[in-house]
Amino acid sequence: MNRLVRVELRRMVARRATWVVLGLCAVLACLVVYGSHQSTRYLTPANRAQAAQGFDQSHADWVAHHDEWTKDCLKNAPPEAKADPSACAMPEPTLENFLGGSSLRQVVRESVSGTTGAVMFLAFLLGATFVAAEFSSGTMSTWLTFEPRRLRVFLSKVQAPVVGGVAVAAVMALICGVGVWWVARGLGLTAEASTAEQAAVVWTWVRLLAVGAFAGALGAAVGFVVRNTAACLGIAVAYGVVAELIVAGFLGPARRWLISTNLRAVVDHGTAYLTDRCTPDPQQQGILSCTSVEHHVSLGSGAAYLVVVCLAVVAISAWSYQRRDVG
Amino acid sequence: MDDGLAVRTRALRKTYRTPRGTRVAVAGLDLSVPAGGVHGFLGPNGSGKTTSIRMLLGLVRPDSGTMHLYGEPVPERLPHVMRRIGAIVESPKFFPAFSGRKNLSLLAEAIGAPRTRVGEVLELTALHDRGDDRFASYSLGMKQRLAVAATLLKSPDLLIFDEPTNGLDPAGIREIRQTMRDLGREGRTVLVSSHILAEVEQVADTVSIVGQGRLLAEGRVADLIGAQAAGVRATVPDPALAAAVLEAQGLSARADGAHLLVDGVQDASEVTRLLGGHDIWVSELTRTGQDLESVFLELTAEKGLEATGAVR
Repeated sequence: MNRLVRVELRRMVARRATWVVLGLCAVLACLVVYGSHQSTRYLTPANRAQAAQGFDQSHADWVAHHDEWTKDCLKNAPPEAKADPSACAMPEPTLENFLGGSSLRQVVRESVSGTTGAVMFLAFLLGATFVAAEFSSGTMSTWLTFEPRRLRVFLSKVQAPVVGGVAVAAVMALICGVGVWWVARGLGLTAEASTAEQAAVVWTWVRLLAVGAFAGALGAAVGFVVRNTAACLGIAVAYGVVAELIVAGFLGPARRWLISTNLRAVVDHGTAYLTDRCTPDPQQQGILSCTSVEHHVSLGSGAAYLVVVCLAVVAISAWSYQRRDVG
Repeated sequence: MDDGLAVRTRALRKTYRTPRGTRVAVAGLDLSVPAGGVHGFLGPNGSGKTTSIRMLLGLVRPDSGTMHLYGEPVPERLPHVMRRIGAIVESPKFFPAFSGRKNLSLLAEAIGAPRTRVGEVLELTALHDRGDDRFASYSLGMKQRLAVAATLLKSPDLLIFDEPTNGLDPAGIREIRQTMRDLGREGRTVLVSSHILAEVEQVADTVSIVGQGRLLAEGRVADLIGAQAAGVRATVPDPALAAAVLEAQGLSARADGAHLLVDGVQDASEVTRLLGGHDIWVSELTRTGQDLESVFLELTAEKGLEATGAVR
């Protein structure tokens, strides 16, 4: 088995497609770093001092008056809103409200959110093309005349894209990590960051590697089922359009089960999404009164969900490969 | 089970579902390939040869029937026996962007063969000069040679060639035939599937003839050809009259242009004696030997099968 995995890794390294994907990944990472630099240019010490001043004033107002504001709000609110304590909550202002990504962690978080989708797509593509190319060139049948144990062949051909996916994420994490650190350092954000904050940033990039592994395995597994790179990409695009855009748009609670939501939960160490809770407005007939409800997804539950999805797809794929004829 | 057979199938059956219903590719095939020598697996296109080979190699699942390779039931024991089998199914299939050497080295590593074996088999197949070129740049003949080289990585006892001369130029065809003969002479078993009768006749010691997924005949090539009645071709002044004379004597004869064709004659002198008795003198007499093509056509006619597809 180890021998087969070694062979597949050698093939992965020798493939031109692998280097094209890694090159694309490097280019995207540079773009993310550039974008991070552009979006944080305004975070000069003078601007930050001004924002801090605005924050201090706003915070002092909030401390002094937020109870009063809440009471006023509840007095004027419709009866059903009065039952909901969150309807008139007056959140405490933070410095970030005034200056966007003003901490190292926030700058990193913004750049990571730009890279997760790219890592997911590129690692998926790497896995899908790695397997599908074998079917389209017919080499899968040649391979099976040398190693007829299909489960072994399957596992070795899924493991290699997992490593490839990690490599994609590593290139992204390395370039973005170093680049964003350099950007943040220029703004003096790294010096302000605590050790815990710096460790959290490193762990964010480490979790991105897990996303690469997940996507690589998923791509390879789908490649075994549909046996064609274009069809794999078609499935990925169809999922993106149907599930991520249409279903999530119309069925808010379904967002909990979207891959993107759980990926964000893993990479960002937990995430949240909003759904609308709507009730008929008693004062205006035929009108719905809606409030936004925030739902949290933890790192643990996001990771568990992705692992289950990955195992399910891999198991279906293995079963299909065992059963189907190889042309 | 060790019955001296390299390949043994019994009642092997495979059907495919198509949009228009079910298509029977192999309909209860009983195939016996003796160990050692070259065995032809002959049949027209669509007669189930490639599907049978794919089933033997575990690439396609049979619906029913049994298969054995060197006495081992397959596909159950295929991993144990595969090391003794080398196969080229239809056209050679390798990674097109990799060199021949790279393709072979990946396969060699997968089976634990030493890397030096790659150089050896490239040398054996006269590909050492082009070993570092991309597979996609190879001619069809070179691709076939690389496929042979791949099968030799394992030093197999049984080599399966499926339509090995398809698309090859005459030099390539001669080369691959020679390779098959050489491998057979080395004591290996070569199973060559083909729809080209002349090819099988030239290289095979034994043959199995299939049609519509069933075995029609099997045995030594010479025996199969000899079992069919031979005939003679005679040059006579009036072929139509000569044919009438022989027909009257109970022989099967007909005029064929300026010649007379007589079928089913074991002793050619009988023709000259009968014609001489009617003052018809033969100026030339040749025996028309049966070939595998006529054997095949007669067999398909006997079994009520149409020899569909191109049989050359």
